[in-house]
Amino acid sequence: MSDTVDSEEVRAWRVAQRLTELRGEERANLIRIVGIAGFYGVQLLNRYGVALGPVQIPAMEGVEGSFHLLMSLLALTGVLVASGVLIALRNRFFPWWIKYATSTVDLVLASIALVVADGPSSPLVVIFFPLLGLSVLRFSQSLVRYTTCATIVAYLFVALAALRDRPTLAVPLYQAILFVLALAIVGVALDHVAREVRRLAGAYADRASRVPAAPSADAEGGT
Amino acid sequence: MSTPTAPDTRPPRLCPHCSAATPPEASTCWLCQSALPPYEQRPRFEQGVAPPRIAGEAGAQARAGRLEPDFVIWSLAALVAAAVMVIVVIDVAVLGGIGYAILTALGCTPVIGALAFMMWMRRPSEAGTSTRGESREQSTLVRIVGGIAMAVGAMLAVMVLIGLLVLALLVLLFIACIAAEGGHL
Repeated sequence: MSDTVDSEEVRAWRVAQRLTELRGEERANLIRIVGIAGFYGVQLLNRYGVALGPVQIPAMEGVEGSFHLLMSLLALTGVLVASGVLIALRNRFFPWWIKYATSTVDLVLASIALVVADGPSSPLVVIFFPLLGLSVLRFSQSLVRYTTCATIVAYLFVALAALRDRPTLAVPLYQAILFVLALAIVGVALDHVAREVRRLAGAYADRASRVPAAPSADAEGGT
Repeated sequence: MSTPTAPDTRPPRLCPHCSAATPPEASTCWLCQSALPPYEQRPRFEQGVAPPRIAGEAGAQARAGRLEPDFVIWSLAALVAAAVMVIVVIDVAVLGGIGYAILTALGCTPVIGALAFMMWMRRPSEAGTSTRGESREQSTLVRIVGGIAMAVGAMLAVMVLIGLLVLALLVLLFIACIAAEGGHL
């Protein structure tokens, strides 16, 4: 009997977790697409500038056509991957590894964009933080840990690539250490969030099971 | 001179409200400040973390094994994705010329077509309600969004057709040039 109750509880928790993962994947995918659109919009502004009455944003000097074309193709790749996730979810294809795959692709695309841009000196380097933040939407501790480690590795790759190929764009060691430290701290905080959500759910279920059922109107009326 | 009382050797007990371990002589919980029952009435000891109960329609769906995507979020994401693809194709056409644009559009069109098709052809069981149980009014909204996506997909398809036509004309011109040169390049 106890085993049956335990297995039922384990099953209920697994169902709840999967449901949360699905909702998180949907939201993460939407945020990913909107984020790509936003970053790509900024790139378009850099390339072409804007002249709409009082709004005058001049085009950035030194944004070459080949660089812009590469950025466009990277944005397209990211959107195509996100569309693939959309199609997969719509067709009820939701394997456990999809969250790892999408996080990895995000990091790879961001790393490529940084390597062809200004490396660790680029303002685009802040993109690692939203990518790390997306991982907590699935409320999976293992995913948060994986993304934290992968983000740090990706940043180190970008920094080392700049140091090797374009030393003028390399950042000082202390700056790299500060950035890695910031990524690690954010990762630890997100890991804490993912862990505490389960405790919160457990505490809520515990409280809810102890609250006595409210008396019905008939019972109150003494009928 | 009062006689010293013997220390209370009873084990600590758990607060029935927050499960914090409280001393046996305490009348209120040190953590949640709730009044504690007499020591003899021991609260039920909970072991481990109880799983949450999934309430409402989401729980019913989960129990039935149906984990459906949220259609509004799905539609919004698909629409933004399609818009980005169209902008990239136009941008590539400006930068790299029609050849690159055709290649890009060829890659995008099946994806946009699939998104638009899935948005348009909702399953009969889902018609009228989404996973959150929204009313039928959202179905109209979703249909409008789907229609826009279909239009975007159709536009890209037209672009591909025009590109293929131009490509075919270029090939014909190339063959004609070779023929005019007596079959020698």
